[in-house]
Amino acid sequence: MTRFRIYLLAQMKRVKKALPAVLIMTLLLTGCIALISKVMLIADSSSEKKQKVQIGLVGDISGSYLGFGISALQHLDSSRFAIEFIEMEEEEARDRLNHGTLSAFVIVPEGFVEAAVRGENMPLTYVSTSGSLRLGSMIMNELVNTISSLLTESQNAIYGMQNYLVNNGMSDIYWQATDELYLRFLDFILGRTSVYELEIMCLSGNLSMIGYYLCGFTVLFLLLWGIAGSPLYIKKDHALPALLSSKGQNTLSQMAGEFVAYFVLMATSFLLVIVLVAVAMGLTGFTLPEWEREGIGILFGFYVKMLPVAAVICAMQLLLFELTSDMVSGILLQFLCALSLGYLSGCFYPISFFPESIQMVQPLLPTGVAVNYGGNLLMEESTAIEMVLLLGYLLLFLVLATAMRKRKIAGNR
Amino acid sequence: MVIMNIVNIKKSYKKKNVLNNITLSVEEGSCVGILGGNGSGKSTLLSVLAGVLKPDGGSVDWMGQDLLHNKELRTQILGYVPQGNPLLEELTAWDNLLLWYDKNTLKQELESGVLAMLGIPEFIKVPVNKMSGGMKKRLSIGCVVAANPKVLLLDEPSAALDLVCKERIYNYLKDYKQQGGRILLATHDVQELDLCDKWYILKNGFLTPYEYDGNVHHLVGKL
Repeated sequence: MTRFRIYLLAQMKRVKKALPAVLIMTLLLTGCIALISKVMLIADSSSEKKQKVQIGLVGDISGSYLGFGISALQHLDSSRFAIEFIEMEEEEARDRLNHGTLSAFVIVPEGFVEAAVRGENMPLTYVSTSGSLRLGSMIMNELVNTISSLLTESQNAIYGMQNYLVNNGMSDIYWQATDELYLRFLDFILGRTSVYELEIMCLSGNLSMIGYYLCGFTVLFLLLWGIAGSPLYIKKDHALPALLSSKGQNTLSQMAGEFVAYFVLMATSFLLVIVLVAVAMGLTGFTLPEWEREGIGILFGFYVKMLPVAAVICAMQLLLFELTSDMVSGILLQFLCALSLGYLSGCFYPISFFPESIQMVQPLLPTGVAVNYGGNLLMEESTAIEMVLLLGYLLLFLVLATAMRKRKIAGNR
Repeated sequence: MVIMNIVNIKKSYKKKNVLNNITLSVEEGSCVGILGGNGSGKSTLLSVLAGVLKPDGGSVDWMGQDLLHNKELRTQILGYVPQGNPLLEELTAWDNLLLWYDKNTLKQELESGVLAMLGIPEFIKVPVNKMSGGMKKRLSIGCVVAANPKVLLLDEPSAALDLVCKERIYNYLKDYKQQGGRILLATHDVQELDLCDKWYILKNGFLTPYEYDGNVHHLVGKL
């Protein structure tokens, strides 16, 4: 048996001994990431009611075209999914506005309908808090102004037309013309969605948001998992590597043995997470849009295809272990690298949310390549470029880790 | 009699000459002590001889062969015990020894060989991270002597050990010497000096012979 195989066997024994503790750490880490993902994903798809903007209506609007128009908006128009008009007293409206349970309210002044009949302009008052002058509030202001103008102007037009018909001796078509104009307005309001198409932009090409986060959180998990491996691989001194070198086992061979054992440990932990996810998917029936027609087996296919990513992250973590020689700074280094690389690579938020400079750096980072590789896997697109980059990073990290170890051994004199 | 001749070994770090033409010889059945303050280059010298560090120049002659350029021979001839413990913390003494011995030899050595002499069977099933400092050092020496090296390079072998453990290690080293082994010992320890037959002081990169007569105060003044 060669020295490499003997050393690899010893490393595998270490991995076997450390496995129970590492799996417990993996479960804890999985729990944390599951919580983060729940907060991020569930918050995005919270209940319809929570997403609705509530606008208060103060004043008597019954028995007028205005009231009828608002009723139509509330019950027929597609805007009812986003905006809710609630009739209330001014005091209640101000109270709710102060407590933040109302976005704004509109005061319909007394005599508004009569003024409209007379053809006079009596403005509606739109009340919102100064703190709500953000982009969303400004859009709401515009929306309310538009709707109120539309309703009052249409009402003015109907009353104007009725006066015109009476004054010009056309009373016989009074109701017919009123109905026709009113229906035309309704048709204009309710049919307005036909003037635009709603397109929801995808986060990364054609990848769904859940698919994107699956890739992001997988990479984040592998990055943070380095903390679990720290106790096993941070060396207080380099006496053993020095002795192995003196016995003819070079540092590259030592590093290769440690890498294989570490990779097996990471792959086993990763498999545990995949099994947990598969069980959860089986129980809840939840799946990714990309996997709608596939069985649970595809998750295991994803696991196998993500192993190159695990290998690169293993090599990177071994390099980080070589940079430190005490446990606290080692764990801290792993944690900070995981967070910073995870953030810059779009593991927490889609990279399209970031400034252009970060978007340019992301595809060059090893973890950025890993996220993009996962995305391409889900979309069944070519991963050749990412695979080449991953292989390059793997070799680079192993070479750097070997060089660091050589330096450490020399410093261990 | 086979003598290991160390000739003109040179090593420098960032323009600082740590080892300047170091020349000495280690005879059969003898122990040579290298004395020096912290950072004097004792460990560097042993690392160079063990093949862990590359020297800038010089040679180590063994029966006409240069050990520095003959890796295979060097690994057979030299046994190097570095300052720390070259052990895998999570594994037992048995598993650590399997890195250096095959199973059958290990069993024999534990029964009646060098490992029995070092008292390793007492803690053969104990994981290294549960061992005392003395146990770890004995196990480290046990690992290094696996291939019956002709020369032992020891870097402060009894640093921070209790008296009982030191005694055990000295007894082993005395026995090793008596059987014709050669020891090159880097040390601070007064007790270890008694084990040596020749002494050298390494200072500012230069090695000078020293006659140790038990006068520690005189020695300290020279370091």
